Amino acid sequence: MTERELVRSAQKGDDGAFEALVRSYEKRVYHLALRMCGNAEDAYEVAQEAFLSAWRGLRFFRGESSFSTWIYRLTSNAAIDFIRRRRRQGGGESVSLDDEDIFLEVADPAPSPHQQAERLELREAVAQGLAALSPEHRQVLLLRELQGMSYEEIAACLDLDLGTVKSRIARGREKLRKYLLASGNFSSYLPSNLTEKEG
Amino acid sequence: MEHCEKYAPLISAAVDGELCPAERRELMDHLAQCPACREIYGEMMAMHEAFSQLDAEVPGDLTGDVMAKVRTQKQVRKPRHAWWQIAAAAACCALVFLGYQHLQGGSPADQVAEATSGKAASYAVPMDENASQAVSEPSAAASAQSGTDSAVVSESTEEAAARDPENSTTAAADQEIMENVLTYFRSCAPRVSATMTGEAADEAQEEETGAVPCPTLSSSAPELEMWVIENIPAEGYSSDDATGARAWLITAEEYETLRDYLDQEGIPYTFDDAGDPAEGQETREMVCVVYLETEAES
Repeated sequence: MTERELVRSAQKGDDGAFEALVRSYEKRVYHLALRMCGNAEDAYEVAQEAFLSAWRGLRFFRGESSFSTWIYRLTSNAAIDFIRRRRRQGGGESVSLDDEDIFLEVADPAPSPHQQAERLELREAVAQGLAALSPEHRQVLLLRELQGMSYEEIAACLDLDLGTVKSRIARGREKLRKYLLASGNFSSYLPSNLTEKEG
Repeated sequence: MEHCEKYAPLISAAVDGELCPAERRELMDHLAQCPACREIYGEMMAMHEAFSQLDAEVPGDLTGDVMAKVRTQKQVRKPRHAWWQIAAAAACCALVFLGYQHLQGGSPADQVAEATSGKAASYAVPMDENASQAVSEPSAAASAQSGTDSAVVSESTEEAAARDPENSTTAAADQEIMENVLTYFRSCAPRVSATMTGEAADEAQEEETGAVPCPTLSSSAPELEMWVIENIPAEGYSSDDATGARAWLITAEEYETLRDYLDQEGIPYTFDDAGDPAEGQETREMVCVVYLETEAES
C-alpha cells in the first residue's frame, strides 16, 4: 500500500494501517523529538504523544499537506509543549553528556583518525548547542536540518510566513554558531588561514 | 563589521540553497570582499554537515507502545446511543427538570441561573447518575443546534441562562458535562490542578498552592476539536461519561489564536472567564477548552 492509501485506511479506523505508518515514521519522529528535547526519555514520551495525536486527529487530516509534514508538526509542537510543561514544573532541560544517542556513529567514508575525532566533537557540540536555542528556533532549524524540509514546506507545516521561517533559521544558526565558537569547536575544523579573525 | 549582520540571513539561506539568483549574486559579491563573512559561511557549512551526521536509534518498542495505547483507546470509546434511547432520555430530561423546579420553587430561569453560577460544585440536582447522563446527551445536541442558530459567543453560562431561559437547560447540561470532564482531569494528573473550580479547588489547594479556577471555552462545533488536534500538542482528556466530551489545557496565547479562528469562521462557542485571579496569584496562563461531542456529528 502507498502511504496515501495507508492514511486513507487508517482514517477509517484501520489500526493495522496506522501501525504501518507509525513503523515507517518512528525513527524520524523519534529523532526530531530527541533533538528537540535533548534526552532519550523525554523524546520517547513526546514521540508517543505525537503518534497518539495523529491517531486521534486522523479523521480531520484533509490530506492537503503531506502526511509527513503533518506528523512533524505534531511532533515538534508536542516537544515544545513538553518543554514548556517541564519549565513550569521547575525542572531544567537536560542535555545529557552521557546520552549515547547523541554520539551515535554514522557510516563515514573512511576519514583519518584525527579527522574522525574532530568531526565527532563537532557533531556532539552541535547536538548540545541546540539546548542554547529557544524551542521555537530549535524547531525550525531541526525541520530544516533533520527532516530536510524546504522553507516553504516549513512555513506550511507550522503556519508561519516564509520571512519568519527564513529569519528564525538564520537566527538559530547564528546562536548555534556563537555557542560553538565560545566552546572552541570550530578552530580544528576549518583551514587555518580562515581562523584568524579580523578586527 | 556591523553592516555584515545583514548578510547573516543570506548566508544561512545560501547553506539551504534557498537564495534567488539576485540574492546569490549580492552575497557572492560581498563574500569576495569580506573575509569575516567567508569565515561565517564556512562555519555554517560545517554546522550543516555536522547536522547531517546526527542520527538516533529508537530505544525500546516505540511502535508497539503506541499501538498498545491506540488499541486501548479504541476499546474504551463508548458506542453512541440508539435513537430510542435519546427519545427516552429527552422525556426523562423534561420530567427531571420539572421535578427540580417543583422541589426548589421559583422560576426555572432563576434556579438554573443560580445552578449554573461559577461554583460548579454547588450545582446540586436531585437526579440519580443515569438521569444525569441522560440529561447531558440530548441537551448537548440541543445546545449544538441552538449554538448554531443563535451564535452564542463570549458569554458565560450564567449570562446565557439569564438571557434566554429556553436555552437554560442546555447551559446547565453543559456545565455538568464540564464538571464531569474536570473530575476526570483531577483523576488524571496533578499538573492540571489549574482547571479545578469550587470545592475541588479547595481540596487541591492543600496539595498544590497556586491552583486557580480556569477560564474555559466550550463548543460543540467539530471545527473546535479539529483545530485543537492540529494546533495543540498536549494530549487532552476524555470525559468518563457517555457524552464524549473532551478537554484540553492550552496557553493564553494559543487561546487567543483559537478565539480569533472561531470568530473569523463564525463558529459558535461559549467562554467563561472564571473571574479575576486571586490576589497574589500570577495571571492565569492556561485556558481550558472543552469540546462537547454531539449526536449531530457525522
